[in-house]
Amino acid sequence: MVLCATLLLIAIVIFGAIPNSPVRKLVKPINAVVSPIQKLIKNGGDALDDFFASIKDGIAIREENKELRSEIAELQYVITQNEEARIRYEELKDAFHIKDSFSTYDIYGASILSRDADEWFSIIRVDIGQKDGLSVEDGSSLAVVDVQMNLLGRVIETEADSSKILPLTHEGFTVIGKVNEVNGAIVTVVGDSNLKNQGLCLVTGIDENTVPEVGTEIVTSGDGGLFPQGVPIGVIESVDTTNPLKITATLRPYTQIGSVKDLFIMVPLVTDEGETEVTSVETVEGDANG
Amino acid sequence: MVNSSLIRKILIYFVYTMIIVCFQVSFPEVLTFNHQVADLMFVYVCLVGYFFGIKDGLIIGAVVGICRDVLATPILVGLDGKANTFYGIGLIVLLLISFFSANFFTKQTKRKFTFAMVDVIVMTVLYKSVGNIFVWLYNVLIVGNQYTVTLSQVLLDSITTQFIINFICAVPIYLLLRFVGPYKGGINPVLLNRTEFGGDDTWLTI
Repeated sequence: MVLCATLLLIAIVIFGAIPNSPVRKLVKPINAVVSPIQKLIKNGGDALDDFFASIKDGIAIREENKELRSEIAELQYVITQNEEARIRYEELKDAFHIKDSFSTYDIYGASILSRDADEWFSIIRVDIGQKDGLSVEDGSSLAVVDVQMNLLGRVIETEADSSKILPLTHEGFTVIGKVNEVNGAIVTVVGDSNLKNQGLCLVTGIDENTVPEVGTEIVTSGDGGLFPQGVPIGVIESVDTTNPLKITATLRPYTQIGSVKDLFIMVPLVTDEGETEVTSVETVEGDANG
Repeated sequence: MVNSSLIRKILIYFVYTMIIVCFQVSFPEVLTFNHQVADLMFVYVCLVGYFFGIKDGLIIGAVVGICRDVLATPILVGLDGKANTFYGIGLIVLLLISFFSANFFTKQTKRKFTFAMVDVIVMTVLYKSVGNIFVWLYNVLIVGNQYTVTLSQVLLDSITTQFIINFICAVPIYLLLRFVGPYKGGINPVLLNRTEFGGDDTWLTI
């Protein structure tokens, strides 16, 4: 009987993986009940944490305040200088038609609701969803960055008031990156089942003539259309050249997923013709999202 | 008239279930050691199944399993190479764990604290071992991905770390269930009156 029940449940799991299956619809009311309770407990925990932090910080702030007063005077001078530079930059920007890096994206701020329950239940849930205008169709996705605009992952599923994010260290994550220099070498950054516990990613597709050195910065290449070009991913931590035909490297992402509380979801702007201003957001075959 | 002990049971189970489920997914950094998160949900289901019998175990296992699937949905790479969410895996895992825990030598021995801890360790090792084998089989044989985790990493980082932190977490959860749990005196009266195993009336001893 246990075996039959287990097999039946496995069949439901597989059936549930099919897009738009009724199993996914069954989850929605459960989510509607559990999510508010989970938010309440999280907010309670955060409030408690904030209370103790405020006492500790208050003492530190008093000391810091003394030092900062003297710095203010010095910085006033720097501000005047920077204001001058800003005006110059705006003039040059207009003159050379420089575009802001992410001007073709709407940026949605979100807070993390829940994280991994164990090494296999490792999704990140955030507090914005379809009600806020986020929508992920089958085969598409949205880029997610942290507050320093470093790559964190991508949206894999949206619900009414929450969204689920695949972190970049997960073995299901792939992004096309490039060495952050002019005509930098193209590489593929993937999550790895072994490295994810150390918070690292694997770098593959390295050409033997352009092997990156330790410390080299990797950014998104923009190929594939999902991620905008130039989003920082991380730095090369080690390179394995033992097999010249399959050179790999490990990458330490800039974002530390365990300590991130807030993040940003990048939604491509839609033009009047209904097309995204950036290239198509559809993921390419094999989930290789550039 | 509504039975007051039933209300107490439902209320306490509801509060504990929500607190444990939400705490684990909201503050995993507090429960992390050596890259492994203490699995409060798993330990809770183990102990409920072991101490309060199969009926309670299966109900709590199902509720916690569904919550786990909703709040921390597992992601697997599908046959098409795309990462996808899979609902129901948490439900299967925790239902099976509650079933096995409820039958963990409960017919041969009295339900003691010591055996409850052994149950948590054995179930954790079982879950991690079967889980790693399943993930390996799925990646290598079905999806065709490379699975780079070595046996020593599985044994040391995954299994050993997990059962140590689960064991540590099992103590406070046991104390909650035993002294401020769903049943007065920490004893399920249904099990107390059971006679088919030669009497079970002194089963709960530390």
